[in-house]
Amino acid sequence: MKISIGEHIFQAILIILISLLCLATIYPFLHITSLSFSSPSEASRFGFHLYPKEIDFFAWNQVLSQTKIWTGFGNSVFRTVVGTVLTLIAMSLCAYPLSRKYLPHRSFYTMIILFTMFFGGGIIPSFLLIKWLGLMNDVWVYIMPGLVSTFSMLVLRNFFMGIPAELEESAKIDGANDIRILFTIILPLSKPVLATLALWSAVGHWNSWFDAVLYITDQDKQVLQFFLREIVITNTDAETFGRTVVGNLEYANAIKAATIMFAALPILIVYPFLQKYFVKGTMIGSLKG
Amino acid sequence: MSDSTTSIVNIAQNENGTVLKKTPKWKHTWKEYKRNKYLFLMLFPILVWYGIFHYGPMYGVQLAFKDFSPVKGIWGSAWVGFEHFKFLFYQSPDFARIFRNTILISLYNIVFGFPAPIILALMLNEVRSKLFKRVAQSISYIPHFFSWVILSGIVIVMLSPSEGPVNYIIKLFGGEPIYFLANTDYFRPTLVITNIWKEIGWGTIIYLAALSGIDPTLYEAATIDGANRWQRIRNITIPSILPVVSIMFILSLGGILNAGFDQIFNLYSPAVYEVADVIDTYVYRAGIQQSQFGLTTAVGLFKNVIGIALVLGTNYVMKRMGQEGVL
Amino acid sequence: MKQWKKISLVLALAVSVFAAGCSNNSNSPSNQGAKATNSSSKAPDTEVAEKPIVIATNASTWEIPTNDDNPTQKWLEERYNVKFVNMRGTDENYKVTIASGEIPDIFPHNITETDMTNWARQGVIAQVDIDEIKTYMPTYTAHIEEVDPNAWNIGIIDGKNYGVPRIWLNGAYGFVPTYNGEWLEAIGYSAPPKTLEELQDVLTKFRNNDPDKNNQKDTYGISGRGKDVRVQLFNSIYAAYGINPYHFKLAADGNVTWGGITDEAKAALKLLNQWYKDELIDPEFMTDDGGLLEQKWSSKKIGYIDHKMYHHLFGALKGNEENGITAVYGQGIVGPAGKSIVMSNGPLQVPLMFGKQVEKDDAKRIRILQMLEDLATKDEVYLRTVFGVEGESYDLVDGVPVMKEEFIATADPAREMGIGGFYNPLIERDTGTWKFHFTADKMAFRDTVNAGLETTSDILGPTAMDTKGKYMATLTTLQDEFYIKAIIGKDDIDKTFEDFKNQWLKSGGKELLEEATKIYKDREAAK
Repeated sequence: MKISIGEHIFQAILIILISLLCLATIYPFLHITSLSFSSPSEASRFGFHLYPKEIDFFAWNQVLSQTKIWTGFGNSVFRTVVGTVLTLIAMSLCAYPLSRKYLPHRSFYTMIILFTMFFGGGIIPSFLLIKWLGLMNDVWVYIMPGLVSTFSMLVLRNFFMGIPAELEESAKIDGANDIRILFTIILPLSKPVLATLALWSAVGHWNSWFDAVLYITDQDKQVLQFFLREIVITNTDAETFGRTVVGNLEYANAIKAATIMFAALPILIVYPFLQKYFVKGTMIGSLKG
Repeated sequence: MSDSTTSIVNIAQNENGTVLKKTPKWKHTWKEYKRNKYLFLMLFPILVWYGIFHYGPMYGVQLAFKDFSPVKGIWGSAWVGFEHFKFLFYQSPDFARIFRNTILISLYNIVFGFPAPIILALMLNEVRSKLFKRVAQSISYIPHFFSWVILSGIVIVMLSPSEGPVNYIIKLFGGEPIYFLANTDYFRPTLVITNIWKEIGWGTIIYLAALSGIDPTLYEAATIDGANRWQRIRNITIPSILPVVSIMFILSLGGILNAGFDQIFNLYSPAVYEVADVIDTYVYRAGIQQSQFGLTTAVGLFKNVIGIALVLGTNYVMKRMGQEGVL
Repeated sequence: MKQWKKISLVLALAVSVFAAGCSNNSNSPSNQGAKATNSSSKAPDTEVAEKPIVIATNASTWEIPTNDDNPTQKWLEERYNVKFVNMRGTDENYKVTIASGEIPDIFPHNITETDMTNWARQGVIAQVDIDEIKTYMPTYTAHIEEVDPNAWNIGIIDGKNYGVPRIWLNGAYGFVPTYNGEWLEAIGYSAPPKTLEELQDVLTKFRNNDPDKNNQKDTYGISGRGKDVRVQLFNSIYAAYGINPYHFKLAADGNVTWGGITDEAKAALKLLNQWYKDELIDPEFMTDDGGLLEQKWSSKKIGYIDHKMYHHLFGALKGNEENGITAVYGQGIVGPAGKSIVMSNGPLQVPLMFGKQVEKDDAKRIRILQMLEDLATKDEVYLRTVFGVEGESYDLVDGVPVMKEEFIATADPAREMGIGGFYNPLIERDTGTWKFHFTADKMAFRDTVNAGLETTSDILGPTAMDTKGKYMATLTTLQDEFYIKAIIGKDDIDKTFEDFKNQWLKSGGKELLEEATKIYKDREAAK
């Protein structure tokens, strides 16, 4: 295939523009990483932080040496993996029926679900509900209340609506029921969207912290974010709380940075692996025959 | 939106002009449900979940109209009618101002911030080098993972009139340094641009997913027919992702009164209250002086009522335009 | 029409769920704890005269012990014949827990005055008789009254007292004017400035005479916390006029007025405006917060700060040394007020509160008071609950406990031992036991730096007021905006200030002052 000069120029412009954007977006990563390896005087300097003049491992040591960090890490992984898988299944089960225009009372069901995106009881009744359900201090409280994200589910539903109807019709002629159609035909064609929603759900679980603080009291069930937050606070000046055993104040900024990087890194690493689902042409041949 | 059960009944009536054995509506409905039993098998468990976890706690909305007392609980607390709303509308020095700021900032974010990831997604889609595409994607979404508490520190350095690179460049071109974060003319644009910087990469993901679902043979056919790049984009790419764009747009309008509390709270100061004080920031400051739960529930309710109205409204418009909506 | 049917169906659903609510569950945790102890089979091999009193405590939201039955808990339980139920509320969730009906016996010690007032009126917290507190906590209350006889005021709502009074000992100390010593020398000052004129001269020279000797005009005299804590912004200059714009003060006519609308404030604003024009003030002060100020001081961009108290300055000594800065501490600036004054936050604090159920339970209440007295004033108990076990968690050096290495490195050992604010809510609240927190040099530093400093603070202290709830957010917004604009603007302050003052009074300020005056007069009368 012949590539014209015009095409080359166009590609060059694209790449330059996008690269400029990437320069801007990569800076926070460099800044925070640099801070996390900085000595106290370096960390308190106003201005750019691209790399520390002298590398100081203290902050990272503080973060990584505590066993509870790793317990938290494990709990967060559990929550993210199990939560995301269950969420995908639940969302698919919900989105597929709603995507079929011939579903009786379809708009009614959609409406009552949409309604919940805007109206909710707030923290107190939710708290009481969790207590009543016996989910207090139970790891399933990480997963059950947030099982379906209505926003994501609706995006998925609309995507399902865009899949050509012929596929479903010919499958039904062959005698398949809706459940089989969903799992053997629809979902495989939806990999890119499912990957996106999985990513959204995973990030949500990974960064989630408020529900952990509210419902979990056992330290060995706590998530990573909880301990990271604790570390930051321990190493901050807490005069107001009458504390005397204060941690390493000079390293407060570096420790904060290290905790942030530790939390962000796993996700940053995961996405490139998901990119294989964003391959073009998942629909090839779907219309033929 | 036609209801399948009633049309069947009508047909039964009209075919002969005489009334056939008229099956009662509920029997038709039951038949329809039976016919689609697998679909309902899938749907009902999730509806039960919504019932428990969303409708169960919904009685808490009352708090918007009550003076909450822990001893009396939600049901026992005293009704105060619209008092919280009155506080919001009449007590603040200028509700018109905070409402205006909220709407304007949200609108700017939508007008500029909504298309940005779409455009970036289209650009990435046109890049030939797969490697570049992958790397660029992974770098562009980095700021999304850092909260505004952290990013604001970076923004402050970047925009500092004395130390920041942006003003350095401005000075290089002979201009006067601009104190962006304290300047009422520049603060809102700063909010919008930094918000794009933070979210553009992450926002492309869903659109890239939609783009990868386009059948490449369509492009091949178009090229053979002599269509150039722009024609291909206009006639194939954009219509193919419009369904996703449409639903994302409608749903994001639902949050229009959330003008981005985290960002504004971490970047603003009294110097720019005039253009940046929004509902949430004002309520936050007021909430410190008041008991919680009442005012915040009321404000949440207010925002959500407007949000759902907008969603339903836009949904109607989109459907008139031939797009799939949310209902 | 179909659309309406659907929407009304949805609403009907919502309404029906409304009707099916959960009833409020108000089992207090100490009841649960009591049931637990009663049902647990404790072999009565010793004759116990009375059953241990169960206390559900959440005294600290930060220093929550890792395990139940930690060493400190057991030590206290044995000594006082009590049984603790550890409530693990953190700042984010304890209010939700209380809202759901779980009310602790001992509340977190860092409640705001607004919550206190609300809970007092809603019957969530217990009334405690002042005389009873004095009876069972004689040493503690005597010490408190020495520091500030007004300490009881904060806890009195509608004429009744709602807790054990607390004093923030450091709060009595003021904000210390601090100068970059090398810069002072460079501009020819052998001692810190004493008067407003001298300070102006110093700041002018800090700006113009290149005190950091880098041949660039990149230094400023002063900046301030324009972004986060505006009560501290330029507080030393306002103090020279005898006020703070964010404090209540007593006016000449015996009523309470607001610092921000006084003529002294106007005069101070004019001066600050002039200084801003003359570039003595860092133009980026509007977006500076505590962290940025720290950086600017350390990076030698500003030479004068007034937002730190002695203990912050003591903690900064090492950092200053590393950055090559010798901090020089001055007295309050003498201005039109005629004497040297510095601003302080005031020592008054919200008292330690108890759950409503404690009101009826005499035995429990008295036991709690007795424990608190010991925790606060008895050396042995204080040391055990705050610092731990000598030899294991700390060493005594000249009578001052020094924590062992592993107890400073991370918080875990302390949490496992159970030491800290959770079992001792009165850490650093009693003058008698305060000595344990001062090494000899820290105490010397405190006394030197604060010598001769006369402080001014808010005349009412942390007091919840109805009018505050209604108007304070509005009034503060108004004032914050006006003050910033006045300092950086070009308008005639004489005129704009009057406009601001009228606007402030009209927007609820008048009611605020009326209520403040009433509270003040009630307190005076009660003396």
